[in-house]
Amino acid sequence: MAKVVLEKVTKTFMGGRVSALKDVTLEVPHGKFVTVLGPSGCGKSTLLRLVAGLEKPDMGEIRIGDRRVNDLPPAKRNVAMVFQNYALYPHMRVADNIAIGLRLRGYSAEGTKRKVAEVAEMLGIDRLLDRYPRQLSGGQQQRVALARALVREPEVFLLDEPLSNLDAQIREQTRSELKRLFKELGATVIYVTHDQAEAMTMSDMVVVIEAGEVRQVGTPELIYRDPRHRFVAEFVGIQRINILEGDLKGGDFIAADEGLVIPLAAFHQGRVYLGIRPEAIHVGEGMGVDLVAQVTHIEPLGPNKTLFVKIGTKELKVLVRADFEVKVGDTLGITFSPGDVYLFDAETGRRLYVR
Amino acid sequence: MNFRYRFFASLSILVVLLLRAPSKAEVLRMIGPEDVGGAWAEVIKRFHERHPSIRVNYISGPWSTDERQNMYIRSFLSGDPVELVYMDVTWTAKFAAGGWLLPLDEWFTPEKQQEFLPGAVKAGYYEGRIYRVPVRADVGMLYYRRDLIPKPPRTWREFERICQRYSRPPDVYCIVFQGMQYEGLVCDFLEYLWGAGGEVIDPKGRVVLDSPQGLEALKFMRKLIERGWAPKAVLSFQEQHSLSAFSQGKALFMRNWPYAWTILNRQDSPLRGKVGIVPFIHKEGHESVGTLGGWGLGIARGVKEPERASKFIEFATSTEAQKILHFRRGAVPSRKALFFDPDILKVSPHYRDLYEIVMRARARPVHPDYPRISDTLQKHVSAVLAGVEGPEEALKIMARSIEGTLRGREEGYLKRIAIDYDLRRTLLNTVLFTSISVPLEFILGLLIALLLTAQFRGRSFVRLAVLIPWALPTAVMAMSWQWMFNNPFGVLNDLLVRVGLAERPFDWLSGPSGAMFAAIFADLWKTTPFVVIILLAGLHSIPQELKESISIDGAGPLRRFFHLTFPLLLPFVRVALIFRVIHAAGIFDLIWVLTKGGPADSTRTLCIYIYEVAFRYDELGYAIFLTVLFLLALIGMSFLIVRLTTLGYERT
Amino acid sequence: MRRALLLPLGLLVVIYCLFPFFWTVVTALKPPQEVFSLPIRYLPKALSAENFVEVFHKRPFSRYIFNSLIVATGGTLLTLVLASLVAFRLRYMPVQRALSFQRWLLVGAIVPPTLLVIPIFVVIKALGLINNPLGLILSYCFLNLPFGVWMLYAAFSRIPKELDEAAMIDGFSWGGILLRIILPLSRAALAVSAALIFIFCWNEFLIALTLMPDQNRYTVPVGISMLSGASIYEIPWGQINAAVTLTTLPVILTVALLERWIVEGLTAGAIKG
Repeated sequence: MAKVVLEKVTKTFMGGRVSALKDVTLEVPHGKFVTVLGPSGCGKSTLLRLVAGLEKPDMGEIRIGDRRVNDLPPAKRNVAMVFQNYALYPHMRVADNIAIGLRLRGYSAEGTKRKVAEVAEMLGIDRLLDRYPRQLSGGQQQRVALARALVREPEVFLLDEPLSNLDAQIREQTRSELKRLFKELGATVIYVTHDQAEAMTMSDMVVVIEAGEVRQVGTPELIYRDPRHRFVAEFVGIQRINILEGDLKGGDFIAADEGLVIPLAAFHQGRVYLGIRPEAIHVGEGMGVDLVAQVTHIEPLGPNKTLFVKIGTKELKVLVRADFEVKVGDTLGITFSPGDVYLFDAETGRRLYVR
Repeated sequence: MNFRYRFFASLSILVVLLLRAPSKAEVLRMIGPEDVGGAWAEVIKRFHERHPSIRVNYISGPWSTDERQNMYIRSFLSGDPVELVYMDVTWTAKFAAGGWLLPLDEWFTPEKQQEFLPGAVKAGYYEGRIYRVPVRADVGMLYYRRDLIPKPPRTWREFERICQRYSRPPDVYCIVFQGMQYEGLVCDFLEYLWGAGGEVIDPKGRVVLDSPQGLEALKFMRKLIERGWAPKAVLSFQEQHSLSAFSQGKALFMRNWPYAWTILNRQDSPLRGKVGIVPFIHKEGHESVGTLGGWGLGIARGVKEPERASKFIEFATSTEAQKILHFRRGAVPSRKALFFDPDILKVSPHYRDLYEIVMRARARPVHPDYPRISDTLQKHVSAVLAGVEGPEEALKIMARSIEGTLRGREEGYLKRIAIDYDLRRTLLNTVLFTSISVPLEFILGLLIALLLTAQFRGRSFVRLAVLIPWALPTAVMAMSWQWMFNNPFGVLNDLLVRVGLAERPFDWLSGPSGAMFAAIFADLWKTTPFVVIILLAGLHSIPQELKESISIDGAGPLRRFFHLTFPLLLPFVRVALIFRVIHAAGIFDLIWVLTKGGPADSTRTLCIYIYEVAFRYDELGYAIFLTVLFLLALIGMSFLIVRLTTLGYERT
Repeated sequence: MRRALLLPLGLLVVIYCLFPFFWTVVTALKPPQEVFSLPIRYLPKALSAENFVEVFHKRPFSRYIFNSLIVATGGTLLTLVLASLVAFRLRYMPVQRALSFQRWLLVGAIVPPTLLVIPIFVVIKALGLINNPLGLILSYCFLNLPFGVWMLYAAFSRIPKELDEAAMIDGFSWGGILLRIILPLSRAALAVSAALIFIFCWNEFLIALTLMPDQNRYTVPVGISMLSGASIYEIPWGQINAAVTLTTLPVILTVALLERWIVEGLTAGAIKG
């Protein structure tokens, strides 16, 4: 297993007109499971493909282990990739699909056979070895794709949204299986997804990317607790975070249309975005910021309920327990700690630590 | 909406009815070669003056007599026969036997027949009745350069001596004659055969071709080419080509028909006054015999009011008309008296001598299956001339083939297949053609398809260019290919010489291997685009992900091709292969126009053979039998191809 | 693949494909004497339209073109009409049956016309349609029907059946659905099929040769193949090349205009095949 380093990597398409990655510097420590998280088109797949060697960076350096791999073709980089659509060779049996990487590298016939059997057993597909891909279900196909990658024992595993084509139930189950598997192997994994739940549950480290730029790198808890960028705060969380646009004046946050004022004792002036998670807002008073709101809408959510409340002209979401009794039209007192408030610069989106 | 439907329906019915009734013209048609000199136009004009109510139309057909015979036969078979049958001496038996001609005994009486050359008249008889009035006679003769050769040869030996002494190939050859695979070759061959005392069929009806005399005749002809006394190009010569070469001073002797004399002595001819004629050479101890040629007119059965046709024939064979044909066209008259006519003798004093030659001319074997006999002779004599077959073997095969033909269609079809030599040869050609052409197409097609998957500027233009050869009409482009393979005006020879790949221009269409190569090349050009398109579709259908995956798995471009691209391409290869194999095995258009199956039958493929059996030998039953067998073979082949190209994963 | 190699390779391919046509046109444009001059000139010294003029003079070439036009247009129209009806009917059959029906049709399409010429001849003669353009039109329709059905079925299947149902509710009859909805939506496929079928009929040689023995009824390919000596000395290559140019030009133009769709159409068919 090796570490992967991207240094000042820039990638554009269409002769420079479309920019995919801007000056990205990133280190994936060896043996860690790193998720690259972001919405469609943010450049995460591009990043993966750059590491795989399917694309070449315009600028910057990519290193696997201590080797500079910019000019190496994929075959020589010793990486293995699991594609979103599995990319199984339809004309080969499952056993051959798994074995091909070894065969191409000149492994002995019995050695190959043995390894294939091992991996197949590990993933529970040993009975399927003689079938053709088209005879398998989605989940089975995905395991074969995984087996193909595992059997190669590469330095790095690259996974491109491998779960997105699975049914919701299987997805969760597979999620934990994957995590356990890679932990056991001590593998270096770069995992790409747009699903923040996956990222949060599976990774050692999360890299959040927006429009080709890295917004934050950190452990899942850190990303959640301490977002460094408005985008990160918005993207990560059980539910979408509450965001208000406004100004900081005299230490108070004044919403843009002056419909809401939150005293914060902040020493910064200017246009900001204020964020507060629904789960950080409680009904009652005394946590530091007290407001009065009116319930406009209620959405049940299993063990919880989301209350849409209105204060002045602004609307906030509050997460409460399902058995909390409330109806639309009720007036509530809500409270939250100023420590749970995030302030972001309106222009750059960066987090402001100003209290 | 109902109204619109009904309107269109009735309109289409009306159109069908209108189109269905072709107006039967009251015009009498005849097919002949290009009317050089306007001889026939004049004859027809005068006839119209005298008989304004009868209209005659002269249709210009191709030079090849075989082609025009085919046209007549097709018209008979179609039920719309061409009324005036302008026939070669050899067609009578077949046409009469086919029931396509009206007997003319009623008005072409023996008294009238006396006025004509006996041989010419005899050629119009079949089984005791006369079907043809001779218009012009012809006999093969030897032309020689009077200014260069003091004494013309009469025997083969004398001829050889002169050749050794005077000919200087490649600037000046000794002799040019008609060596192409067509009827003319038979005429030439027979002159050598008869001149050596040989015969094709004896008076009792037995085939005696396979004899020492036959062997000598063939060997002698072959010697002419081997020794370089005749240019190899004679293999592609008909009358007009030999005349062209002779008049350009490329040969000392020429075997040709009398018409050439008139042309060679025209005002603007470079050889005016320098040419003499003698009877054709014979072997020592035997006699000179010229092959009787000539044309005559008959009436097709089914013509309304045949008296109108007979009126025209009477005029066309009158002294007046024959004189027109002679003066304008160099035609040799068929009326005896005209050989002594002062007007004619003034211009062609040699006609007195010609009379003797003509009277001794001999007709080719008379038999309804003559076309088939002629075909056999043509094929194998030209094969010997081309050096493709040995004379002994050729004689044996010819004799056996003619025997088979004479024995008639007594054999059942199954047995016939076993003894049909032509069929075997044809199958070989077909297999050869297919097995070379198809793989080459696929290799070339694959390379081009791979090229087209890459991105580069102008790619769509290349793709468009690739489509063009496939869209163009095969038969029409085959004419262009003929022109390109031509020697000496062909552009391909020119390019080869310029680039340095060949020292001398090559006679593509004259030799068997050259002709096959030309056919394959032209076919390749035309059909590769089809393969390209299908393979391109296949290449595009391979998901990008698979290609990426396998390169991550460790395959470079070459191994990627073998492990991924090619297996996934197989379904498309299968489609293209089936189409192509079937099409190549059944090829017709290209070869028919390019080489007609020659030279020496080296490019005759199965479908050409079947076509000739049906429409030239008039044996529809056998043709259909062969077709059915061929179809079954193709179906079997398709199954085989599917079997061989289906991988395991498609079978599940 | 090295990029630099690709363009010259492509150029080579283009030359290989277009050279015969180029040479034909060049020869046609040379004055008759220059055609036979040696050494060969690749670009004519002087341009002359004489060959083209002579072609129309010596033979009823305009008649041939007329004949070809009638036969090709008629064949195309008839084929498309019938193919539309058949494909429309197939649309309502279960997909598997429709596909196997088409596969059987395809067997008919694969057989080279050479083998079918004799049965066709016998049938057309029995109908009394020898030397009649209708005979040729019917034959071409028969030969092209499988292809037409194939293309149109592929196009029709892309139209969601919901449209039919909506139309039925709105009150269209079957014919109306076909004419007003399906056909207009399949314009591209119709155009490509029409072009390809037209080209096929225009180019066809053997059946035309067999069914139209009368010289006045020749189609262009047959007419050209019969062109022979203007004088006894030579075959009129200048004229022949002129005739070939005239014949092939419309085909090339058609292909040039519709190239992309032709490729698409054939590709789609190949995948289904």
